[in-house]
Amino acid sequence: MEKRLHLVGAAAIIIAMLISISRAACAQLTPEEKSLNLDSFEQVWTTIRDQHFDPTFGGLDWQAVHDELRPKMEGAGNAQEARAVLTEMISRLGLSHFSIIPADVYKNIDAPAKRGDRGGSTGIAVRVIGGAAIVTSVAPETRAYRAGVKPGWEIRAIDGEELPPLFPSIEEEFKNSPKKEYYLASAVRSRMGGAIGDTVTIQFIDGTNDPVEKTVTLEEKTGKKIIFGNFPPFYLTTKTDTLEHGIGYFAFSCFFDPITLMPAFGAAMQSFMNAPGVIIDVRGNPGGIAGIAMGLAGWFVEEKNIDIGTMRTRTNTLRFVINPRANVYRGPVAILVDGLSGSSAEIFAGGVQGFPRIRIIGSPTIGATLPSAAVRLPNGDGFQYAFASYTSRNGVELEGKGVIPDAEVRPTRQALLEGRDPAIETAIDWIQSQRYIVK
Amino acid sequence: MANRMSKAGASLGITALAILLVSLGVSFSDAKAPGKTPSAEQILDKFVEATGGVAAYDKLQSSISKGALEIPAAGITVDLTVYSARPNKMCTIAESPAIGKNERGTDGTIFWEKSTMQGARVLEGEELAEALREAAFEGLVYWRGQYDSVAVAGTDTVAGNPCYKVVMKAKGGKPRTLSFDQKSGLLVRTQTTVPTQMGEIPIESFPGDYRKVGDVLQAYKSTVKVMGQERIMTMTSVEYNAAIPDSVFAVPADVQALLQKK
Repeated sequence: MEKRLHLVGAAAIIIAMLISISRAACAQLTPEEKSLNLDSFEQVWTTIRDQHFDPTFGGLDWQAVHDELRPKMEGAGNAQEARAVLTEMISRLGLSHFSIIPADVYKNIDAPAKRGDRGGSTGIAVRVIGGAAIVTSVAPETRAYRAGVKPGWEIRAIDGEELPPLFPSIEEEFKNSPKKEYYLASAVRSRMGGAIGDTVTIQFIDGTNDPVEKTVTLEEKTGKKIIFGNFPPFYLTTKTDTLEHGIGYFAFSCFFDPITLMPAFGAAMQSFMNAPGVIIDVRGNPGGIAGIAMGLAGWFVEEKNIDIGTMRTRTNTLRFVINPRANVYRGPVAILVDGLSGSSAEIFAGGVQGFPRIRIIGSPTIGATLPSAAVRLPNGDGFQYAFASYTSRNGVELEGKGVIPDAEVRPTRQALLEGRDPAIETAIDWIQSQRYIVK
Repeated sequence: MANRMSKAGASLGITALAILLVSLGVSFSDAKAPGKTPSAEQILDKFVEATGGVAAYDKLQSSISKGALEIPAAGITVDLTVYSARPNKMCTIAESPAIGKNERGTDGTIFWEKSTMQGARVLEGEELAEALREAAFEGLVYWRGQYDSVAVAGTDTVAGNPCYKVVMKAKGGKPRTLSFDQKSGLLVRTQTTVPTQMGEIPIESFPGDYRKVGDVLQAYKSTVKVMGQERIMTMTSVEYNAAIPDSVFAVPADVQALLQKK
């Protein structure tokens, strides 16, 4: 199952989109479309043959994969079947950052936000805690926020479908995988997804354990919409705050749009220069451009020629070197992660883990750290492929393992209902225990 | 100088893109390949003549090149501007909404990089030496003053056309292999390894679409292969002897701050 569920990291955001566009994909193919599908098949297979960072393909006979699946592609009767063949091919590698992005997703990217497009959101963030789907945050000013949905509420059902029965099989399938938290949350998020303007009816258990039903109209996702190359859209939000004891706090939703993100982070770090500690929150952050991870680290790593890990392609080994800023923060830094922190967020956290002034707090990350690119195929679909492996500065291959926090802390329903954040509390306690003189 | 666009690629520090034509050390080998293959000296001189001749290049003092760098695998296009002036001043600016601004430049002594994502840094060691060679305005045209050795390395075929291969090496630099079209004499491929902060990166580039700019021929397009991926550089304008303010080549304030910290 894990091999089939390969859409992690940067491509994770499109899962909800994939679900509802399959009907249109079932139309019969013209001879020209069949030809384009075969061309796409060859492009995907050849790209992996020529560029996969592991020339042994993890022990696979890659030519045999071609010879086995090519007849299936020739027999594919519709776009969905053709896409399934491509997905089966890349799934054989059993790695993250390989995905087929349906052409319809790109149509949605290009179209104006209106009813019928995908990409709608409730603004509700969810984690599955103890077998229950728990609201962890509600984006301010969304309809769900105005309707009074609160962190700590449990989601029992969506559009009449009970959620708790969904979780045991996922728990079992991924019991030994860092991706468990991600897939559990995805099971809920995908059911709350849809087009902007669609409605979704959610049954909650509120803070007093009473059932509450809310019908929420889906909205454009919160934040600045980012289109990066051939990837589906991402939405960037940043939050700068000063917590108790003067501790600085910075959170952001993805590693994209450096023009917005880096000045915001730089301004925050400048304002925190005399703070007793800084908390950087990448929980729920699916990653993005790895170069941003190096740039962020340059604000609090002073040593020169230090890297946050190594990328290996078939022919090259490259270090992700940090450029220390002229004005570096020298106090303790806590980085918050969770099971929805992926890709560049993991490279960032895993890369600086082990520095004396830095502590990673939260729950294990997704374990999807392969640098990747996305190209358009002849049939219009997108093809995301990893072209390199990644090893952290500490020599750990995070792919399939994730970043294991120095202090493992998970949210609880009770804490959320009380307006508390156990990970932030742990970070504050740790910072308070440090005795660095911040200049 | 003959290929300002090649320097634009290097402005993206993550790839240290094609350094097509740089300027390096002295002396050279007069080695000849068997048969009718001309000497390396003859091949290089033919290239100089084919692109305008030394007299034409002698009139050039500066250049401003503008264009774009496309990275198809990422679906990204970056705007490029390259300022260059004798003897070895350079500033390249690569900018796009997706990745922000990447600058790379030198006043002839200090070589620096600065990017929206990764901040500023000052180049050192082998990387600095290679970058300063890259910045020399007197590029391949004045190869006698730039390279320690040049030698014919046989023949080759690029895009179906027969070529001569010449290996050139500067003192302390990496060897680079250049392929010149046997008929036109033009440079059609370079292969080299570039030292970068991240490590050494092999680069293969294919300059083409030569166009006349004043009295010299200029490659307007170059396809660059880096780590299995392709970048396409296309110039839209090349202006020679344009007035470039000294401030363009000045070391930026945040780089100065790093230097003062040393």
